[in-house]
Amino acid sequence: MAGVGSRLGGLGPLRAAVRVVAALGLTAAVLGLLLYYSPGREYAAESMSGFGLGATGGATGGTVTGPGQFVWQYLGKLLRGDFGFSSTFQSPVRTLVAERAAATGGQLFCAAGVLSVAVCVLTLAGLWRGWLRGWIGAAAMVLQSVPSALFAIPIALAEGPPFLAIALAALPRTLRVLDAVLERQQGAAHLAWMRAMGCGWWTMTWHGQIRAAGRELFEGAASMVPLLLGSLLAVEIVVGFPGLGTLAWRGVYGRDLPLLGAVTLLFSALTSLSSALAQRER
Amino acid sequence: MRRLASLLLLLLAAGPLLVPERLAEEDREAVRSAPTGEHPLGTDALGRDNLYRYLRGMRMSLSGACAAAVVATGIGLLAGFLLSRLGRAGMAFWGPALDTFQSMPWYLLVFLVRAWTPLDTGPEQLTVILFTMLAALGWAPPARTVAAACRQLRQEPWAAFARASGMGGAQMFRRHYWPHLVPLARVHFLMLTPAILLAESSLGLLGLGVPDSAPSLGSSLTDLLQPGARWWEAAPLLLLLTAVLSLQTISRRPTDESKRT
Repeated sequence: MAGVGSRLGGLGPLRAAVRVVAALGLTAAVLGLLLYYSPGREYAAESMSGFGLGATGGATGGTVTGPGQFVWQYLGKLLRGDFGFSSTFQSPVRTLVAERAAATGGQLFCAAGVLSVAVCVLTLAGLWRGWLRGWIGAAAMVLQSVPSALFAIPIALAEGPPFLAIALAALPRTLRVLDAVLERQQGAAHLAWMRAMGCGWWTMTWHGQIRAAGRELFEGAASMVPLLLGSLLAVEIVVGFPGLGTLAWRGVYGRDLPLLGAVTLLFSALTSLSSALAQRER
Repeated sequence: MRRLASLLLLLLAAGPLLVPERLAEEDREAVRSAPTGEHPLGTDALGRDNLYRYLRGMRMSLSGACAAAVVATGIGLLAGFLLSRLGRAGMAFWGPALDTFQSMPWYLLVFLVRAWTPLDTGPEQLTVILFTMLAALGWAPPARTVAAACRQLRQEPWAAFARASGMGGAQMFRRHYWPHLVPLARVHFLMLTPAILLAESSLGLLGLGVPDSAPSLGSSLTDLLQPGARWWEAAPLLLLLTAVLSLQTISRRPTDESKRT
């Protein structure tokens, strides 16, 4: 955790934590309001223990009178770990999310690994030969214009693992972000100095470019987490992988707001944490 | 290159007008047929001509994305200008609030709104809700850029001179700030349009975009997910690539191209 703390740099661990909590609070408040104004709010409220709707809801006995109070009670329930009951799966939301999060986490971890290897190989190839960099950049630009879900089709046809499609979908944008970071290094004075000193290609690449841009590269990689999560949702749904993406998708068709709310909160925590990590001092 | 890209976009937008009107009708004699002289890209399971359907979907998605990008850029301009008028204390609150808003998982927020929408909502209303949602999620980056630009412009010597000459806030905005903000708004519009187009296509592929009865690019792309999809059914992907790459080419500064040549 010390490493993460120091990486937060100018933002500071305390401000980063406040930002993550604020993002979660905002998401939860939006969820509470959607729940209050949804047709199925009586069911959603009933599924959380001791949560009455009273005069406005008319369901369970008289404690909540307006949206503000409803949202406040909803936040309180979430803080106590009560995410409600899924009408689609007839199971507590907390259990469902915990089960599926493990499978999704495994895919996400493997995708991040494959993505890192692919990015390293392609970036080094681009730094090695200029014309290769041009071709890789052009291919990345075209592939970036393809919706993530389409990358899952060849993987599904070949019965390959979903993490390959997730990595493939996130690869073009990641390459372009990291390429932009390294391009800024190209004109740096220290590189001209290293060249004049007769440093070899590897020394210049490793010490002059990659290590010099280490922090920016880390920030660029951290900003890719929301992209990876978005790709994960789309790929899981197309491939039919039993993870959080499929859970959320079935939740939409079942109008299962408590289930969708729990998945949204989990993803919101991950994206806001990665966003805090990617923040630079302003 | 930029002219060619603009021409391609115009062609895509005017697509349905360029094909014969008879293709709009269902041909029950040719269900899921291969490309023929009458149906250049074959037909779907209801006997509808694929070429006409794809071009209509393209026009619908492109116009929806453009409208959503205009709304998002407009909200961003207004919000950015108001943010730039806040003091240090105001920015200390609103800056992180914008960060927080931008870090929310937009995919799932769209899922939530879709689940929340009543079952009797019509396809047109669903289309409007979807593009409004995408516009509402895209205003934050323009707002941030415009706020920074306005703060910088306010510190320019000519701005101080204009203020000292007794120019009011509205006049300052119209005469001095607006001409500087138009290029910024244009860039944001050109960046947001392909992003919204891609978002609509992705949601359509998952069955959560524009309903099939109001054809869009996303719903046309679902042909590729059907078992036994045929190669000509990849045409919507080609249309999407053309639109997104054309928009990216137009949004590139002229200096970028001259540098490359």
